[in-house]
Formats: sequence, structure tokens, C-alpha cells
Amino acid sequence: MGMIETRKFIRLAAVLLLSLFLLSCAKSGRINDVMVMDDTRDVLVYARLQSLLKEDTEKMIHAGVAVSCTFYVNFYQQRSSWFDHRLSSQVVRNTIKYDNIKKNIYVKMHLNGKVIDAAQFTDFDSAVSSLIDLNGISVAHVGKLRKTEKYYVEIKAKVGKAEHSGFVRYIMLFLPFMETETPWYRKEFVWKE
Amino acid sequence: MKEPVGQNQMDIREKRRRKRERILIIMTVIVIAFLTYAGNQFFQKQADWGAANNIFFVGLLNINIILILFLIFLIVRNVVKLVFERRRGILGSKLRTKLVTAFVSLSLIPTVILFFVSINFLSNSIENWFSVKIGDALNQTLDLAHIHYQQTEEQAKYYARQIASDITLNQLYDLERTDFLVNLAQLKQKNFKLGYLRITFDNRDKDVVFQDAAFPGVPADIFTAKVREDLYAGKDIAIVKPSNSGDLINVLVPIYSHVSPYEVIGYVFVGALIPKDIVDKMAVVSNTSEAYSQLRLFKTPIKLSYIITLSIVTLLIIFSATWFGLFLAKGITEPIQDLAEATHKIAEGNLDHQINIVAEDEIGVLVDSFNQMTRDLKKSDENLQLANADLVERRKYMEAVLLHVSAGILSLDKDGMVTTINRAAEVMLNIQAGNVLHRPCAELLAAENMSVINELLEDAQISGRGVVEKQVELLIPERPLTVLVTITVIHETTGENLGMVMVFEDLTQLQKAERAAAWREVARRMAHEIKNPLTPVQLSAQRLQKRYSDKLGDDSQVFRECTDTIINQVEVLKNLVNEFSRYARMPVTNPVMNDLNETVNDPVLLFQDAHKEITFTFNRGDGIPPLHLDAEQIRRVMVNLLDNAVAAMSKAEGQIEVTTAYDAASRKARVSVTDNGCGVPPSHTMKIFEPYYSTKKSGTGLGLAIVNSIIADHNGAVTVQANLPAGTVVTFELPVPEISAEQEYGKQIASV
Repeated sequence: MGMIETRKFIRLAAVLLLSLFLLSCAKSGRINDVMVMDDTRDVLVYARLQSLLKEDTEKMIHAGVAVSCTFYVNFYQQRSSWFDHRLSSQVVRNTIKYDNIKKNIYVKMHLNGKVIDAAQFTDFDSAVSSLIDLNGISVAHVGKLRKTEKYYVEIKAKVGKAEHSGFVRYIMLFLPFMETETPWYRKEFVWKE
Repeated sequence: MKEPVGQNQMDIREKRRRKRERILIIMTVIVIAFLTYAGNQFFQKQADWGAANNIFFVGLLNINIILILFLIFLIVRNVVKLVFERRRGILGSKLRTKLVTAFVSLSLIPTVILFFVSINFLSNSIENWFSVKIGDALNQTLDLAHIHYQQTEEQAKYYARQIASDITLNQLYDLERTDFLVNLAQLKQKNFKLGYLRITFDNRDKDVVFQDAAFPGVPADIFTAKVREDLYAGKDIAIVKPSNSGDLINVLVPIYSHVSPYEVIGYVFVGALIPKDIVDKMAVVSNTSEAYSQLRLFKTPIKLSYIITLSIVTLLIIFSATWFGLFLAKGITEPIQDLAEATHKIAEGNLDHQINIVAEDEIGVLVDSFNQMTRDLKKSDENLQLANADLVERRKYMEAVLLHVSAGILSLDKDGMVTTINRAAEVMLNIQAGNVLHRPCAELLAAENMSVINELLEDAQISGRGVVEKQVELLIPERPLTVLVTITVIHETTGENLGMVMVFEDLTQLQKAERAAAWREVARRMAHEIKNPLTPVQLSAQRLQKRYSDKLGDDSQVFRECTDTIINQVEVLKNLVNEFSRYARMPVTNPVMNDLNETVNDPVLLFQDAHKEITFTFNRGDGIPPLHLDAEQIRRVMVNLLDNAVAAMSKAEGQIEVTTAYDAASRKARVSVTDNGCGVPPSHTMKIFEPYYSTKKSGTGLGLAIVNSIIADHNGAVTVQANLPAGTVVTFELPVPEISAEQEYGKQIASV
């Protein structure tokens, strides 16, 4: 194999690899109803994830697969002459798990790795609604904000399976991941006292 | 013979490329195996890496696919190359193809069979996993567990409702009836065997609580806002919470006011415990059911993943076997190819060629033996070349000896074919080597000569010693030849007849010289012995005539005649003896540089004046260089030859032609005296140079003997030939010196 053929082959492989990589990074779903407001004490963020769950998600949840929906919420202070200043970064992770004995669906909410809320549902829709809702997460204390400054919230969501149960994990090779994520959404916020 | 530099460099480049390719293939296989293993491990561990997870896995998978494609490319390329090599008939390609085919077949057939059997087996197994019976059994078990939970919950709700109903009916929420409430609660807790019972009113600070000793306690996170909201909306609440002792079933039932039946004034909290051992058992069932459900959900992808895994492994085995076949075949055929090339090079004469293959197996032994053989061949070749060179030297030496030897040498093989003939033999026998070499001996000479030779050959064959030596006279055209023939039969050491060698020694000149010497001795003795008594005889006869011629009377005439005869004959005898005496006392030749034409011209003019009736012609040759000759003696030679020529004339219109010439090739000056006289018979040509042989009536027979003697003293030769149609040609040749005669002549002139 001559040098020219080798170079061509490497280029082709690189292009193929990059295409597959970009394909794998393809995003779907969106975040709706993003609201940023203050309750005189904290700046609260509300959001709802839409169209990110796949059709077979319900089947998977009922089969006992723990599915997670993670919201990444960053709060920035806008700066004109320099990079924007990130004031806070929150990771809210809701996990849903079906209990096939009790026929209940449990939804747990973690904030930065700690469980802050847990709910039990008997109907799937309510549980999923709880899973995809970001309900009033505090991103900053209003006392630290200035009226003259501009702020914004960046938010994105990612849905993926938490884990397979039992020995399934050992026999599942080359299965496609169900992890998908949304692009970043931006919502401006101006604090008015 | 050295190999071309370009060819060597190409070989090195090709070897390096092949080595690179081998390393590449091995590395690819290793990387594929590693990435497959890493992907598997990574997937199993389920690390929560978010998006990176996806990217890494897809990347891993793609790298694997690319590497497999690369491996396929390399293998296919090698196979295609092999096919082309086979088509072009490159040495070793057929064996390589056979080996690769064998390896691929050996690996392909079982691997493919195993692959399909495995796929079939796996599909059946996976199908069996999800059989309806197992699914039903698991569902039934789950239902049982669920019913157990439900029953426990319903029972707890029932007790709680009953207690709440009693409280409402008896209005035990009044503070005055607190004791009744406590007693009721205690009684119900005992009767219903409740693990935990709490009665809470909005208007009271203290709750009524009764708890079983084994009950672990109420979880704090039960009373969420939603629970409170539902409870005060009149709903019965049941919450299951896990604990260290088992699952707690917490039931909350609202308590209504008796006065206002829709007003919730408090609630009854009943806690029931499902023991841990039961919960654990149900958890096992639950997990198994979950795993089963997930497997059923991912049945097709799991099957696909196994097929992919098996396909990759199968492909790896096939490609590895193909590559191994190629590698092994190359390992076998390359040395064979090298051996063949080396054999070709050695056949071309390059004995320095060595095969550079290091191998421990039989190929290595073969290569070592081949190299050893080449070295031995080279050594033998060198020895052979030395021997050949020695033989060539010997042959050249022998040829030089044969060329320069005065004897004629001729060899015959066992079939009587002439194999060797030297220059002397060619000259002696007047034959050309090209005409007689590899021809039968019978064609060598004329028939009359061959009869003599054949007799000798027969004698040699029958002779016990194998050697015959005999002096014979051969009749070479226009020239008699006396030779001593020695024939030696050659035998191999094993006794095999290899032919014979014939040696001819020319005795003609020797014979001439011997005869001349003998005749000189005879002449000298005759001169000495006869001359001495002649004078007294003559004097005595004269004295007798003087004294008695007048006294005898009538007889005096007779007496005078007789004594005159004696005196005259003695005079004749004296003349004869004087001639012999002169022949015996031939003066020593004193050669100096002389012009041959001038030397010859004087006697011709003398004879022309003396014999007007004969036409003398002198053909003066051009370009004859000055010669070393004794002019006086050469003139005597010419006088004798012209005298003989004149004597041979029997008719009036005689012609004598004298011709001089120079043969530059043989560096000889030639003088011919041609007459149209009576000539000399061929049989007498040998004897005319002998003394006392003459065809003339008054000749002494010493003329040509003297001519022969003088010319021999000048290192020349005299020949006699017939002048057709009549007459004789007597020719003598004189050698021209090697050094530049003109220069020497110039020197002599200068010295004079």
C-alpha cells in the first residue's frame, strides 16, 4: 500500500468517524414554558420538557427501567466587555421508577446530587408530568442581584435511562443508547424590586 | 556476478512494506479485540457520563467498524495480490494459493457452521426465555405480592375507617371524652393488632398514639403538602415506605365532625408492617420480573447484539485464518522462491549468491545446505578454473612446442581420425591442417605413400611394444622426402586404446649433408691416393717414350702411340683428381652484403657471349634487398647451373631464362634457371646433387654437388623441378636477414 493510498484511507476514515460522531450528537426535543421570576427572596426557574421521551419510554418504565430527566440550569450575569459571569449552576435530576409489586410509580427529585423531593403516583401520566417538570428551582438570591445589570438563564434537558436491572446489563451489547438531550435555551431576566 | 543495485533496493523496500503490513494487521486485530472488550465492559458498568457516554460508545463502535473494514481491506488486498501473482505465474504463488485456500477452508467451514448453529441456538434460547409460561408465572407471582400489599393496605384502611367512624359517631373528639377516646384507641390497637395507631385532631395539641413494640416508627416525610391537601379533601391516603424492618404501609383516613359530616377535623393514622423477609422475597420476584420485562422489551436488540458479536468474532477468525494462511504460505514459499531464484542465479554462473533466511525449521536446514552447496560449488569452480588455466597453459606450451618442433607430429584417435597436426608436419607432408583434421588417416597422403604408412600402422598395432620406427621415402609432389617415421600407440592406464602418435623427422637434408660429407671424404682420399702415383706414371711414360721410341724401329710407332695414350690418360686422370680435390677443398664461405641481381648478371652476360646460338633472358626481380652472400661462390653456382643448362640443350633454338625474385612473406630471395632442354627424370631428382652423378658424357658429376654445397653454406635450398612441356627449372633460395638490410648495407658503405 503506497503512501498516497494510506493517506486517502486515513482521511476517509476520519471523515466517516466525524460524521458518525456528529450523528450521535444529534439533538431532539425542546423545553417549553420557561419562566424566570422572583418571589422577593429567590430567583425561581420553571420549565417543562416536551417531545423528548420516546414512544417506547412508557414500556421501558413499566418494565422497570429507571429513566431520568436531568435539567442543567445556569444563571449568568451579562457583561458587555468580557465573558458573561456565571452566578450559579444547578443540576436537577428527576428519576422515575415503576414498582411492579405495588403498581406505583415513584419520582424522585435530586438537586445537585441530593434528594430534595419524592412523589408516588399510580397513574403514568401524572408521574411523567412530574418527571419532566422543573418546578421553581432557585438559582440565585435576589439580594445579590442589581437592578442595573442584565441576567439570563440557560437551560437544557437530557433524558436517559438510569440503569437496567439485574443481569440485563451483562447481556446487552451494542444496544443503542436512549439518551437524548435538548439544545441550550436562554431566557432573559431583569430584576425589578 | 553482482545483482543490480536497484533490484536490491526494491527487495529491501518490499520486505519493509510487508513487515509494516504484518504489524498493522496484528495491531488492528489487537485494537479490535481490546475495543470490543472495553466497549463491553464500559457498557456493562453503565457509567453515568451523560452525553459523553453516547459519544464514547458510538465512537468506540465506529472505530471498531473502521478497523474491521481496514482489516478486510488489508486481507482482500493480499488475496487480490495473490490472485494476480498466480495469473502472472510468479514463482511460489500457486503453492501460496493452495495453502491460503486450505487455511481459509479449514477455518471458514467450521466457523461458518458454528456461527449459524450459534445464531440458531441463541435465537431459540432467547425465544425460550420469553416463553408465555414463564411470563405468566412471573406475572402471577407479582400479582400475589401486589394482592398481599393491597390486602394489607385495605385492611389498614378498613381499621382506620372503623376507628374514625366510631370517633365521629361517639363524638370522641370532644375534650371531655378524651378518656373514652384513649380507651377506644388502646382497645382497637390491641384488637386489630395494629403496629401503629395515631389519632390526630386539629383542635388538640396532643395526639393519641399507640405503637407496637416491633413497629419501627413513622417516616417523617409522609406528610407532604399534597398528602395533607388530599386528606382534608376527604380522601383516604395510603403510603408505602420502606424501612429497615420491612415495608411500612401508612394509611391516613379523615375524621369527620358529627355535627358537620363533611368537615374533616382530624385523621386516623394506621401503620402496618410487612416484614423484611417477605419484602426481600418479593423484591427478588420483582427484580426478576423487571429483568424479564426488560429482556422481553429488548429481545430484538439483544438478539441483534449477539449476532453482531458473533459476526465480529467470526469475521476475526476468518480474517485471522486468512492472514495466518497468507503469512504461513509466505513463510514457506518465500524461501522456496529464494531458493529457485538462487538456483537460477547459480545456473547463470553467480556462485557468490547466498540466501539470507534465518529459520530454525527444515527450511533453515535446506537453506543452510543450499548455501553450503553453493560455497562448495564455488570452491570446485575455482579449482576447476585453476585446473583449466593450468591445462590451457599446458596446452599452449604443447602447441608452442609442437609448432616450433622441427619434427612433424600427427595424432590419430582410436578410429583412425586425425586429431592433431603440427605446422612442421603440414610443411613436410605438403598438406593443410584444415583439410585433414578430423578426417580419416587414409585421406592424409597419396595412395603410394599411404601404403607405406599403413604398413607401419599395422606393424605398430601388432607390435608388442606399441612403437615402430622406420626410415621411409615418401613422394611428395615434385619432391622426394626421406623421413624417419616413429609411430607410438597410446594406451590409457586401464589399457584402453586412445589412438596413436606419428612423428616424422625429415632426413632429406641430413642425408644430403651426410652424402656430401662422404663424397668429400672420398674425393679427398682419391685426390691424395690417386694423384701421387700419377706423376711418376706420367714421367715414366714420357721417359720411356723419350728413350725407347727411336730404338724400337717398326714398333716405335706403336710404342709412341701407347705411351702417348698413357700420358694423355694420366693427364685426364690428373684433371679428374684436381676436380675432386677442389670439391674436397671447398673454400670457406665469406658472406657480405651484396646485390643479388648484380651477382647473377655477370655469369649470364659471360654465357651470353660464349653461346650466341642460345637465347638468354634475365628477368631481374624488383625490390630484392641486399643479401648476405659470397658473390664469388654464387657466381660459381650460376656458372655450374648455366653450364648444365647449356649442356642440356640439344637443339639450336635453345632458351635459357634466369629469373630473380623476392618473397617478402617468407623473406627469401629466389633465383631460377629455366631451360627447355632434355630435362631430368623425376626418379633422378634425388641423385643429381650427389657427386659423380652426371647425365653428360664428359661431366665429372660434381657441378650440382658443388651448387648444393654452396647454397647449403648460405642457409638456402636448391630444388629441381620439371619445366613443362620440356626442360628443367633449378631454383635456389637464399634467406634475407631479419635486420634491416638497407641499414646494414649503409653501414658497410660507410665503413668502406
